[in-house]
Amino acid sequence: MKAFKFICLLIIAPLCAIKAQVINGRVLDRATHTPVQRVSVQSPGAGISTATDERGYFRLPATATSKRLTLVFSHVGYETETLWVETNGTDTLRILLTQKAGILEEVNVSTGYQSIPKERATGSFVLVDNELLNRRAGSNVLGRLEDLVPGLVFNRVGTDLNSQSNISIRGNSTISARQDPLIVLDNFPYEGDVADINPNDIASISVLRDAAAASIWGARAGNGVIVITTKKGRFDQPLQLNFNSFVSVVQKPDLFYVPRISTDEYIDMERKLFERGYYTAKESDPNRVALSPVVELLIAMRDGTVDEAAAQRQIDRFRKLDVRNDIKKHLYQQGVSQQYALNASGGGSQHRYYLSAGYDVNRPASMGDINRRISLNAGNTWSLLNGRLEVDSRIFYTKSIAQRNALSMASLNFAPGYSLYPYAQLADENGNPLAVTHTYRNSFIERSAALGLLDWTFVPLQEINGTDRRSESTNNLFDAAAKYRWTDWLDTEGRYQYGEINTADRSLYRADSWYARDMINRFTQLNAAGEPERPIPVGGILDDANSATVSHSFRAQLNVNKSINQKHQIDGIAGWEARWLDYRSKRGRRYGYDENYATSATVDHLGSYVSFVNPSSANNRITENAGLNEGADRFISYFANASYRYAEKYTLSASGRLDRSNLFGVATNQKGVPLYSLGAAWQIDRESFYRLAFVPTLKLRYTYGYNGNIDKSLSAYTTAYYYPPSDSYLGLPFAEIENPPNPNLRWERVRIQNLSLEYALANAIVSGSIEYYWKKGIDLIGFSPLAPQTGTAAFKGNNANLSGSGIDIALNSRNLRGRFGWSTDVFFSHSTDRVTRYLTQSTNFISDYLLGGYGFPTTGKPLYALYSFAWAGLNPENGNPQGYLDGEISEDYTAIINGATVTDVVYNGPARPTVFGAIRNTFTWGRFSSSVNISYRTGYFVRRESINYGNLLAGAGGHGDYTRRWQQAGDERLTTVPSEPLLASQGRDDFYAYSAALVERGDHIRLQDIRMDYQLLAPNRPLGGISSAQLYVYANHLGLIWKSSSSEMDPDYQTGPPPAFSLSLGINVRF
Amino acid sequence: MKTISIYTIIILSLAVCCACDSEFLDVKPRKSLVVPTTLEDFQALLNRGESLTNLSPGLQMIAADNRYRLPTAMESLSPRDRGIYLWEQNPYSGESLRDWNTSYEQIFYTNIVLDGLHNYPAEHRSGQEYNKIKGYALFHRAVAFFGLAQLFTKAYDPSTANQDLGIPLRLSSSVSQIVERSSLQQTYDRIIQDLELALGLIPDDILETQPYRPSKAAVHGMLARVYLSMGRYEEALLHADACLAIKSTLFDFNELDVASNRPIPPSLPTGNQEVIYHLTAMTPAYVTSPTTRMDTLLYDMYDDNDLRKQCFFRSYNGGYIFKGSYTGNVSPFGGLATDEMYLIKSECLARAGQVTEPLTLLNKLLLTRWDKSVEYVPIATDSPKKALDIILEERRKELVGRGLRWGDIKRLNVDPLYGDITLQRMVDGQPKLLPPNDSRFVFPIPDDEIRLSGIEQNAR
Repeated sequence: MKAFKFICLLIIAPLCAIKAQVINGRVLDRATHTPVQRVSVQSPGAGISTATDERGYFRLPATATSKRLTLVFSHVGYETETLWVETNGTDTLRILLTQKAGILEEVNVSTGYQSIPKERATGSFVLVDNELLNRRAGSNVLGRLEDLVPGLVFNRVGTDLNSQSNISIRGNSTISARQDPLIVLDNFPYEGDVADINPNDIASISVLRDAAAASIWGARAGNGVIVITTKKGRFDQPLQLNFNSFVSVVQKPDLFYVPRISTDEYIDMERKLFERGYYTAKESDPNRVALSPVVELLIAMRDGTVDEAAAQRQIDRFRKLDVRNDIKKHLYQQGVSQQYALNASGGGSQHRYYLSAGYDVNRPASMGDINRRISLNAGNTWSLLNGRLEVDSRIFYTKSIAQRNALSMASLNFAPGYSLYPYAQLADENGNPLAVTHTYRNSFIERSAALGLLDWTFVPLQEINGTDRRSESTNNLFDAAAKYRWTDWLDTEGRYQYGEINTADRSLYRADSWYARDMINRFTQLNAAGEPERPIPVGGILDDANSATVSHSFRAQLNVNKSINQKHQIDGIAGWEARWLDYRSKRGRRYGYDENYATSATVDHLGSYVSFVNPSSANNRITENAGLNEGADRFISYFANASYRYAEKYTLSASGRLDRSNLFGVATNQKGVPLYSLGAAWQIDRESFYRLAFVPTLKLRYTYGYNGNIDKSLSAYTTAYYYPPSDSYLGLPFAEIENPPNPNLRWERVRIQNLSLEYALANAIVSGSIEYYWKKGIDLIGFSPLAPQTGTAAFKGNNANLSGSGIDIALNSRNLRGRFGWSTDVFFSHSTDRVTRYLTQSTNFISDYLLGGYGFPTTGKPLYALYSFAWAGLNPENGNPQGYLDGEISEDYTAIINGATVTDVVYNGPARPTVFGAIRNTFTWGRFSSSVNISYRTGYFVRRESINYGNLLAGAGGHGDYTRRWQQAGDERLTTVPSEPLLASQGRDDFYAYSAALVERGDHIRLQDIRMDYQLLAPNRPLGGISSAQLYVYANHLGLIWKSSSSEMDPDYQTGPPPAFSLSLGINVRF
Repeated sequence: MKTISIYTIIILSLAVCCACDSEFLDVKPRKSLVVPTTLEDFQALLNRGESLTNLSPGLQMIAADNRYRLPTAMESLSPRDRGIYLWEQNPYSGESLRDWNTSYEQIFYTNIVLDGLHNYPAEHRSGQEYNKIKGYALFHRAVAFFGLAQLFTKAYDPSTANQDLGIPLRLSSSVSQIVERSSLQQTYDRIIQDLELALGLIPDDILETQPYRPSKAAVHGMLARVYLSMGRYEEALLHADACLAIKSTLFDFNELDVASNRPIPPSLPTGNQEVIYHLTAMTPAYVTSPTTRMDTLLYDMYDDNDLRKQCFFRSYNGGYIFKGSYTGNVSPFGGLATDEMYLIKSECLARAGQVTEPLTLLNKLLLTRWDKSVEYVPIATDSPKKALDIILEERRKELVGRGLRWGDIKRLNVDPLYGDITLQRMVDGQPKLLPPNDSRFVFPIPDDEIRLSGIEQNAR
């Protein structure tokens, strides 16, 4: 409530202010009549000066000694203008400035707290402007940053599903806290789904890479900050309409990308296993686990229950099939995305507005999925009290609806761990859906049907309509702000944002879906009369999950922009901010659901039932699938940032922030951590001694400071986590200790130093920057071991460190100008990190370092690292894989695996690229332009998949490497694929799977995308109200140009195909 | 300009005031996350059942003599279990030990509860609920201490207990402090002190429907077991008697389907009427493996008309597998049951020189195990020593599969009346012996505990 008092004060205060005698004026661009901000206004005679605000207004105190004054208007992008003005005039002056030819517009970067000219910044900012953002087509605004920002990479391994993005800025800064950068939308952190932001509403994006740039965000800035700035209307601009639309077509994925053994090999293996008696035990499996059709035929032939010749013919027919063709035909379609966006902007002298509406519909290649997004945005700004007070409001509304009915490959598994057999048919020649073997043996299904159970067969193509899975979310933001200008150099502002995100996930398994029928059947009990009784009633099963997040943010801020005698420029902000966010979610399940009447039945969740499938499994409970989750985030922060610039040559900056949060249970004095940064910049080219005419721009910058990060799962007190009675065998609520007490808990800090050189060569043909940085993560949250007598195996606290360094180089070259234009933009990033302190050691080497992971945090190694067993080739006698044990060649896999430690296995290298970048060439020819983007990644390693004989010899199929296996002496010179053993050995499989033989370099160069556009109208020749119209074509995911590995796989996509080629056709019209 | 600075000061100071609101920062980030402070919280911490609260050690079953491993299946034992089975000097192969870790985790939980109760507002530090939970926590802690003492210390001998090493007696929940090993005397003093305290705190009502909760009968039963293991038979008798006074139900095995695969009704939730307090042993894979068999000499000790022979054993591939766990499932039972109380009482009476009374008690028990279609001839003798021998033999036969055998061997080997139990394994056709009171009857402290806390290791 105190916050509201403060708002009131901010609004009332201006009314009491003293009115002073001043010269009022406004500076506009001569050509466009749009305001020009930051124009220096000086009176050399009177020794007074000021600068225009963002609406072009200026106010100069009239301490008149004479009746007339000379005013000089200067700006880096405009010709300087000198005027004589009357000091006693009461009218607002109107000054028109002419743009200098060939000079780029002044670039402003935004931190979310202030917008500053890039040339005055000491920190490491990267601005992605509107034109670059619009180069790519797509519905997600963050995706458009790919290949544009030095130091920013989209990770393809080790990404966390809970994070907002898979972006890393300048490598890793933390081990267990959030790894993705903070996303700021205009002024406040954005907590929602980035996919809810309509890219057409975005004016520009600033990426904050170092401490000086990001430390204003304090404890949330440890991973860098991405500030998204939305479009706004302009004062004194007539209504402008802009319409953008595109259609994208996406190919079906390549299902043959990961090689599999052929159907012939699959069936031959099943025969072989059958002859060995492998299936004998499975035939009497109490869980009636399904056997494939070929195995069933072989059993029937053995038992004489089928005509041998007919069965043989059936098997031979199977040999000609490959289910991947059916899947591609029936479960995939060509994906289509469409986007429509319309916006209107404009303004009068006291009001400006921006209104937009967007509609996206995306039908992916997987059949049954569809995503829709509707977004509305309305922003208004009023300029009141003669320009002293500015009031701002904005409403942002997004609704997203995703339908997810596509069948996953895992849902087709015919038995646990067995993917669908390759000779399955999803439909007959006429396209009629066919049943496939699924989960249970057919004989069991038939017997059950005779006992009155529901039909238990699985028809994949009917399952798409058997389920209705959708998630809907609405995302609302309401912003209000007031800014009062006290004098030409001081203003205060108050901002408030209300945010609300509601999501509703709903999964309906209709009564005819396999999932519902299976649940009902498994719990069915036969009564004394042999009739089925159903604890789960016949009907659909409905899972519902809802969540709601409400946030309030409030900020009070003081801004100073003071220029003294042209020599000294002081810019500063100071303020206070509070943010509160509450979330709650709940999920639940209903059985016996009837769509037509929205009714459901009550079931007994606590009763124990005998499984119909396996009667010896007697304690089955009907899952409740219910849960509640509620919680809150609270932040209070104080921040200040100031820079001083002398003679437009030397800049010093300092920034500090203190954050406090409801980090649970920490004594208040430890809740906060002050984070600060210092910076300096030197515009060398403006020194009188500077003589390098061919390098007209040269600027050196250095910054030092701390950003923070937070792992809110920890607490200083003993905390426990409650479980509901339904999770307990005893039917009692119970609690588990989550944290042992940790009174010394504090926030993680990342210390960053950044050294940068910005340059431009003569005529700005070549410009760019070189930045070098060092960073060190201190007090990172990590585990340290505790003596078992404490009752806790490991202790999570501030006891890990990480260090990193890297270089970011950007180079922009305007190779040709004129009617035919050619420019090249290149960036190169090198980023390394290594763990410098981590106290626990892995207790299970194979699971921590090899299985699916990228290594356990290990001192001296990168956080994401790839390790493998040393490879001694295949044994020439039997094709067994060989490793090393105590320096000797060995096939004792158990000993190699059990004895493995981090010092005696091969450390291959980082698992994430240490070098990456992109090269973009843009060509223009009159109204036609085209750009080609090539990206590259090197300095990392990937692990390839290969044959697993355990799966193969269990009849579950396997990797296509099987064909290239060792078969006879001499093959060891041609292949690294081990021979087929008689009996599978887990140790042999694991050793091979994690051996160096399957690790390769990930280095590659990719032709990422090409864009071509054409302006339908000649410049300055509007046609029937249309001022410009552009047609564009955008082709994405064009493929690899080069890779260092000899494998056929794309190094970044080992387990599934890379994103499929897509082609977009779009139009952009301005009225 | 003055006005401006005044306003600025007002605004900023107001902003600072807003931030003073400490309640704002005291909101829980997750509501399901609690700092345990209420009695409900403390009770919930002791409600973890078979995932923590009601677990007992199972390691000793590998080392004891009721079972043996098929020689052909030695390789399939984990290196650690093999080391334990063969009584090796350093049996664990560097692996950590669940029995140790989980017992101390139980102790950690009880200490959190006891510390929390200690800090409870003084005006509420009484009342039935408060006392009950405190009694529960003390009982659970004593049970965990006793379980550890059975494995990691020598058998209690009053003449050396002040010098013998006990276990670390952790009495606080702080994880930053390492507790050195106590003396064996201190260990048993603490166990008895905790149990005696619990006895006064746990209410009198019997919790027939909640065998996973400590009751007064359970505290008496536990005291009887502890005193028996110390050789303090008078006190053991007192508590076994007190326990039986509350609960003395026995099954009639004739009413069980002894031929079935799981003849004993499940202990949880309420099926087993003999169970006084439920504990499930942390089951080593060794115990439930089909290549681990019951000792054939033990099997032969049962009369053919003794229903336990069918109820406890299943013939499998030429050997016998145990199927009579009092949990009613595959996991061994480590808790307290009335049959054990009959046996303790009977043994203590016999040790006091009586003959008739202990055998009457024993016969009462055995009659319920005897096939009723065949006449039961009551056991009778004149010699107290003979009676004791019979009672001890019946103790082994009745309490098979409960993890008590190892402690009994240790106890009897320091008993001047016995002291002659040597264990034997056949390794590669050669007998390997574990003579009475060998240092290997005491398990070494786990390697990771020694590495991280530096406490004193047992002599090997």
